[in-house]
Amino acid sequence: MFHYQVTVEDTKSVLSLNGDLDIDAFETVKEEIMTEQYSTQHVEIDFSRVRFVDSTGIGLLIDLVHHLRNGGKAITIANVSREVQEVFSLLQLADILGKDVFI
Amino acid sequence: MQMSRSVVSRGKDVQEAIALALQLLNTQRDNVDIEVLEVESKGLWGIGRKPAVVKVSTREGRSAGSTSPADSAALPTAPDKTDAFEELVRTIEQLEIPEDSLSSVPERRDSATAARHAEGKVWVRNGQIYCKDGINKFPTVTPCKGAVLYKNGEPVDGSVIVTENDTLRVETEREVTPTKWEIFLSPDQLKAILQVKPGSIIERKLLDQEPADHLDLRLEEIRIRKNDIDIKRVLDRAAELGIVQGINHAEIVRACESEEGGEFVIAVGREPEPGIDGYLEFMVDVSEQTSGPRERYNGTIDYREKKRIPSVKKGEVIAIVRPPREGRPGLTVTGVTLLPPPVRAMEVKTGKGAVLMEDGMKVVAIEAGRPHVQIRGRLAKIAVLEKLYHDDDVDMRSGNIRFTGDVEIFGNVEEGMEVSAEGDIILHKNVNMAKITSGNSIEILGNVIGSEVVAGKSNLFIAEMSLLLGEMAVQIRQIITAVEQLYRTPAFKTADIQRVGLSSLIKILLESKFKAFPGLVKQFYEKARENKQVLDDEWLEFANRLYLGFCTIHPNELKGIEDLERIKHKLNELHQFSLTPPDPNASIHLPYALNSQIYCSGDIVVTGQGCYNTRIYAGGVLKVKGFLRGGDIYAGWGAEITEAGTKGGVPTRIVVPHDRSIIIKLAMEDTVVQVGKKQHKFLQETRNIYARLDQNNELLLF
Repeated sequence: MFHYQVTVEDTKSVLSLNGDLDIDAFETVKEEIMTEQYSTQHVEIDFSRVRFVDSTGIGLLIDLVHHLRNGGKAITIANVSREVQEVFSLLQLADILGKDVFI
Repeated sequence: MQMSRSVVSRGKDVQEAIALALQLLNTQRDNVDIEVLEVESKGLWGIGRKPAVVKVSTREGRSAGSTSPADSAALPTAPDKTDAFEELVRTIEQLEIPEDSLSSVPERRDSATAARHAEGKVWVRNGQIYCKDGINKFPTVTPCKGAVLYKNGEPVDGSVIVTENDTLRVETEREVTPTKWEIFLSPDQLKAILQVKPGSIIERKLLDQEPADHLDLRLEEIRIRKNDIDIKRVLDRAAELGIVQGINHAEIVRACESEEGGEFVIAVGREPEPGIDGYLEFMVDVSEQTSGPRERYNGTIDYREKKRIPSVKKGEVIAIVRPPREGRPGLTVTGVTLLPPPVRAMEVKTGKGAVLMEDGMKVVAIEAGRPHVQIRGRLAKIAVLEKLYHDDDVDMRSGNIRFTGDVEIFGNVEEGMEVSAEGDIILHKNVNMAKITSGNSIEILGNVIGSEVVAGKSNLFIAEMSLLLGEMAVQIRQIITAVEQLYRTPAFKTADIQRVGLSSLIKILLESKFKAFPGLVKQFYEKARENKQVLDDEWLEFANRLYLGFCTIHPNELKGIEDLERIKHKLNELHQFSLTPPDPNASIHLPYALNSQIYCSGDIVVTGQGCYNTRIYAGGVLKVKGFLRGGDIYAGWGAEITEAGTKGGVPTRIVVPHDRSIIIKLAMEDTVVQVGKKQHKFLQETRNIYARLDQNNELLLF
């Protein structure tokens, strides 16, 4: 099952996603991750434990990034596996979220 | 001194070939070495029979020469011969024979006499070297190219002294060039060709020479053309190439036996027979009667002389839809089926007043009226149009006239009024500050002033949509490719697409790679809605679905990749449709227009005085019998104008596509002609202009 964890490291909050970011993660993302209070201005989304994504999951990610940005946060996405990165590239996610998001 | 001789002979079998050789050598089997070069072959089906070939050589030291009476004429040089046969010969020689009964006898005597003078000389007879020792004088021999002289078994290099005690033998070179052959297929694979270049054999024989002190050996060359193709190998090769169809065995034999060689068609496939596309067979006269008023012989125009307008009664069969007939497939020589070009059915759509009966095989009128047929590519539209007659002016009293069939108006069309019809419009009087719109053709007999006249509106719209449809078709293909790529990506899960459809994926794609696509869809949707009166429901429905799928991104519209494929298919279809001009196309005929706008998907003919300051768009040909003063003119299929331009007035610009021409009898200064992207402005009055582009894309004016 998809779950997540938020840890604070110095000046950034690390949002570690765990599991497949897909349609089954819908409620978790919409109702929990999005309503979470992040104490730092910088939020890093850690993808190291995400092995699969689907189009709904990517939609959720786009919504999440936009939502957090609207809340004044700076977002980065880290540790994306090569396979998931391939999906991101095909969808030109960098064009949607901005090139600086991926580190 | 003897030398070996050899003979190559052929016979229907080896036995016969040897017997023949022995006869030629005049010797017996014990005295010769036999080499079988080729065993006879019976060939396949009795064709390609080949003879046996043997090489028979006399053995050294047992010269056959001395055994024959003819050879003994070349001097008896082997007195130790004890052969019974020879003895017999000698006995015979000693017999008294009448001179005329044995011609060789005097000859022999001559030779013998000559031989007596041959001391110290060397000579060649019947391919052998003979010599006689002389006193204080030795004959010499020099071999030549192609012949190797063996003296006592050793090959000789250069000139050599020969004596009677030497064993002399000459070996001549035999050159064999094999036959070259090859089978190749024609590019369309409908023919197999056997190309034959026959080989040759060059046999060399020592040339006879008279006795001399020194002898330069000379050779006689016999060149024999030899086509030695093995028919079986040809058939094997043909099988290897997979040739199975239409093999012509007689031609193979001819090729294998041919002396000259050349190309032989050894197998022929069968070309596919094209079928016949479906078509409409009309049961009533439907020919368009909108060609306008007839011109009398004296050049004036008779508006009353009109052709009969075709009409159908209720229940009458207008046309029978003939189905396509499939062609017959062909076969390549390798047995691959060649499909004939696909045949296409005629798709028939009925409009108002017509229905399809009997499983779509018959088009039947359900209204009385004029049958209206328009064919565009493989799509035919048939309707029966009623006709509305209006005897008075169209003004505030009558109101605007909108009708689904044909309209004929005998009065004027007054300021601010509109006349629109799905069929043809005939206006007998003037059109002033009004708007005339027809789904088909328009004929105006009066003057057009400050008005907008549009004929073939749906065609115009469809032609206008062509670019948009083409661009959307390209993008949808790219979208499909992108989706397919994602499907193949290991980290991409597709379970959600099965559950909720493609919409979330499409949404992402439209946000990045295909940002421009929703804009195109929106344009298409809006234009289709604007023109909904003149368009088929099919267009509107499709425009709606596209809008829902790509602008609203409604989850029900795009459930899977199949839906994208369907949209792609439809886009291609409509795009193709938009590129095909309808037949017959709409037309406009009018005598005079002033400050107006005239649009027509087909031809425009200005029959009278001409046009002044009028904007003209003709999808077809523009013909102006009078003048054309001022205005922007476009003619998709070229323009023919009697007089163009004004003296120092409104500019006149005439444009046609790059592959069309503009003909103007008289152009005033400042008239601009443009063909493709090349334009020219006339600076003075010019006559007989024929503007077009040449092969180098240069504008020619005359």
